[in-house]
Formats: sequence, C-alpha cells, structure tokens
Amino acid sequence: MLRAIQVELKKLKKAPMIWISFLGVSISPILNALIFYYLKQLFKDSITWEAFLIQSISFIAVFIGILLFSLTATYVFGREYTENTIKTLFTIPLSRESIIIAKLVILLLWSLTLVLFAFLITIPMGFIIRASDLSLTLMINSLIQYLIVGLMLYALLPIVSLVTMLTRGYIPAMALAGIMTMIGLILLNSDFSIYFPWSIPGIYTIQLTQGEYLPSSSYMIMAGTFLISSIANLTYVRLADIDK
Amino acid sequence: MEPIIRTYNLSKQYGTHLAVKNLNLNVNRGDIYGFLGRNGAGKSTTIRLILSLIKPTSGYVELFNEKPGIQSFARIGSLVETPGAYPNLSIKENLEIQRQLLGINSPIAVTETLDLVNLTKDEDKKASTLSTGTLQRLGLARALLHKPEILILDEPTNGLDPAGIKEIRLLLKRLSEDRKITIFMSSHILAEIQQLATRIGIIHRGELLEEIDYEELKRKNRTYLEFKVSNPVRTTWILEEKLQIKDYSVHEENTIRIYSHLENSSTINRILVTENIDVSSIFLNEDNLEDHFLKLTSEVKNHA
Ligand SMILES: Nc1ncnc2c1ncn2[C@@H]1O[C@H](COP(=O)(O)OP(=O)(O)OP(=O)(O)O)[C@@H](O)[C@H]1O
Ligand SMILES: [Mg+2]
Repeated sequence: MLRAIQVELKKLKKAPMIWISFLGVSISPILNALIFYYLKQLFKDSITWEAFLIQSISFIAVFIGILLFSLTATYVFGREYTENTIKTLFTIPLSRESIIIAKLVILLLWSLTLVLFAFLITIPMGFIIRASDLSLTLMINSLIQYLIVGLMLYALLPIVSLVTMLTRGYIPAMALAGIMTMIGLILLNSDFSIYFPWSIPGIYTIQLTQGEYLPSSSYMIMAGTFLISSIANLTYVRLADIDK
Repeated sequence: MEPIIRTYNLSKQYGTHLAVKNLNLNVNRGDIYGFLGRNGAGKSTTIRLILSLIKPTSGYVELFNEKPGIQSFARIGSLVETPGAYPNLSIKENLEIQRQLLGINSPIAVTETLDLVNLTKDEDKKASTLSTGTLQRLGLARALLHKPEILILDEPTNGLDPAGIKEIRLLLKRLSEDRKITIFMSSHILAEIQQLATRIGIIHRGELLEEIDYEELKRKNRTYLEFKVSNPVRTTWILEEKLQIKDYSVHEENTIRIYSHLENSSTINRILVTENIDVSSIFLNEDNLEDHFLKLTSEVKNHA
C-alpha cells in the first residue's frame, strides 16, 4: 500500500497538471488582494486580516475550487486510461482496491497542499495591502478554516474519480464538476445550500464572513458523500472489466 | 509436462456476441505457445481473461495449477495490446515505477532489463517522444522486469520494423532457452509463430480450432503421397521390404501416407498392383502451414 502511494507521488513528477493546479489556486488570493486594494482606495477603509483571509479562500470554495480539484482527480484517475497504463497497473501483485486507495490518498495530500499554498500566498498579499488586526490565534484559526475547505472539496472527489473510471476519460467528469458548481452557486442563496454537497464548501466560507457556522448535519452530509462515493469506487474497480 | 496455463470452457460474451467460446487451452511449462488467429478472432479477449483483467461469462482459468489471484502476478509478465507509459517520465523512470510496484528492491533489475531489450542508450528519453517500436520494447521490458515464469504477450511485434521483429524473436528464443520462461504469445501472422512456437493454438471466431505441437503440425502438413489401398498391412510390408520406404504413416480408411520418394508415385503404384494390392486412389498433398491455417479458418467461416 505504501509502495503504491510512493509510486503515485513519483508519477506526478514533471506532470503539467501540478503547475496548472497551483497556478489555478493562486488566482483567488491574487484577485482577492486586487479587489481589497481597490476597495481600500475607494473607501479609505482599513481592512482586517480576518475578512481578508476568509475572502481569499471563499473565492476558491465558491467558484473555482470544485472545478480545479476535480481536474486533479480526473487527471490522477483518467491518465491510466488515456495513457494505456491501467492494464499494467492491474496486473501487479497489489489489489485493485489498494491502488485506488493510494490514488485517493494522493488526492488528499494534493488537496491539502493546494489550500495550504493558497494560505501561504494570501499572507504576503495581506501585508502588501496593509490589513489590520493580525494575531496568532487568527492565523491558526484561519489556517484551520483553509484546511476544512480543502477537506470539503476533497470529499467531493471520489464522485469525480468514479465518473472518470466509468467513462474512461476527463470530459464527462469535468462536465459534471462544472454542472455541480453551477447548481451549487444557484442554491447558495437558498436554505437548501447547507444540505447540498457542492454548495456546502461555499456556504461554509460565506457564513464565516458573517460569524456563523454550519450545522453539524452539513459536515455529516460531506462525510457521508465521501464515504459512499469512496465505497462505490472500490466496488467498481473490484468488479470492472478492463477491456480497453 | 507440467500444465501452467489452463482454461476450462472459458467464454466471454459482449452483448449478444460471444467473443470467446468454450476455450480449453493447455499451455505447459517451457512451451512457446503461439496463439494464432485472424483479426477479431478473440486473441486479446482470451489474454485479458487469462490475466483476470476481464471476468469470464462462464468457465475459468488456472495458472500454476491453481485459481489465479493477485499473487500470481508476481510470476507473470504481460504485454496486452498497445503498450502504455507515463509520458511525463523517461523510459528508465517508467521502469522504476514498475519496479516499485512489483516490490523489487534492487535497482539493478532496471538496468539489466533495459540492456536485455536494447534500450540502455534511450533510457533517458521521455516516453511521450517514443516511436511505437520503442514503446513496444519498453512494454516488453516492463513485462520482463521481475523475471517472470510466464510471459504473456499480445502481438508483441506490433509496430516493429523487420529488424526489430527479428531482434524480439531472438530475445524470446533466448529467454525460453536460458531462463526456461514459458511464453504465450498471440499473433495473426503465421510466419512469425512458425519461427518460434513449439506449440500452436488456432483460434477462430472465438473458438479453438486446433491445439497441437508444432512438430506434429509440421508432420501433418508435410507434402505426402496418399494411397488408398485394399490391404494396408501388406502394403507397409511391401513399402519397407521391396521399396525401402520407411517414412510413411498409416491412417484410417485404409490410407497410407508416404513422405519420401514422392516423384516415384507411378512406380510405387505399379509395384503395389503387381503385388495384388488394389489402389483405389493416389493423391499428392502439398499443403503448407499457410494453406492449413487459411483452410481451417475459412472452413468454419463457411459453416457459420
Ligand atoms: N469491450 C468489448 N465490447 C464489445 N465487443 C468486444 C469488446 N472487446 C472485444 N470485442 C469483440 O470481440 C471480438 C474479439 O476481439 P479481440 O480483441 O479479442 O480480437 P483479437 O483476436 O485480439 O483481434 P486483433 O487481431 O484485431 O487484435 C471482436 O469481434 C471484438 O469486436
Ligand atoms: Mg488483439
């Protein structure tokens, strides 16, 4: 199992998708800083670190996160089909399930690294626009919030990987991610947003800006989504015919 | 003879189409088994079934005399249809990945195998830049990395030029002789199988038409004179004693096949007649393997 995880890491060496994902996730903090800078010019208001940090991850949680994270998932799973390596992967003395779990572990690491990266580039931006009221507790709390968003976005990925494997390609999975982002955005203004897995990450950050918190049922829905879809992945690979 | 791959009434159905029908294959240790069939005959499907990549509709496979499990893969190397590779990695890195997946600790395995398939000079080339032939070689290297007991190859010379084909043929021969690897390889080219195989299975429209040792197939398909006679026992005596012909075989329905003295059919006939043997027919068979293969695979077609 550990072997499979190490191998998954190695496979990403020089993979363009790494740079695409990091570039994608940095758009949000940069855009966020520009907007805040503009607002500051406009209203001569001082900006708090708290608002600045939450806004930065909120862009990711609401708009680009689902698509961006789905892209990494569909890459990690889809490449074995498009690169014709799946039959090699499934003819080694490791169970198919452990290979899938290794991929899901890699996606977890990748997801958390991406939000961590977003956090790390938000910090210098905050100094540049001279945000106020910085404290260590705020930093730590904010970091935890970033990681929670990372986990939530990650929890949606096994659905993407399942669709990728079922259709053996990137496009249907990415189309699904696009549609879900849209539906999530539409639901964001409704009471239903705290129950819909694809709007929960967004509504989580929006509520934070208002000093509110998600009900525990939202967390349970995310966890349930992850568990059920992960089990579906494992069941699928155990039964699947590799006839491509 | 130790059976190493066996299938029992193995079938695979796609929709209403039976891609493989009641296949009973017997591959013994040390065989170079040529699995011959035209396009769409079911070769790749059979190989996928043997490797548990797909599940049979009915029937089952035995490897090393037992039900295959993931541990069997430690003893099998395979190359199925188009070989894949991670394009962002070099040839060597691709093999390193395989080495780790197989749990081989020594990195020497990689350099040795690169050498074996003649890829050492290209080891740092990125897989995305490789020609079909080189990719095929990389696939072969991956299959050989863990020194498997069985090598299962689906059209291994696909995409190679004549020099490359010859090189692979010599390599496979060497592996069979030196490492005593059992090789199961599919092909739609008889000439390719003919130069290598010790045993041949012919698949057509999903059915195994014939499974035979190559030597026997050759014997069966030699040019011969066939006599239909009234008294075969006496005929053989005449052949041996009067004509000094030893290379013959006796078949059902009083026929005798003679593999030498082919040009003397009239003399043989005359002597048989003077010895009171009725010869009801004489027939010169000049089938070669190519004809045999074509005949086998087209006869069935006409029935279907
Ligand atoms: N996944 C699939 N779905 C439906 N039909 C399939 C599938 N795979 C194979 N077939 C059909 O099964 C038959 C056997 O295919 P297979 O690929 O095993 O032939 P083959 O002998 O390997 O041919 P080739 O020499 O072209 O590689 C063909 O008629 C093919 O169309
Ligand atoms: Mg084929």
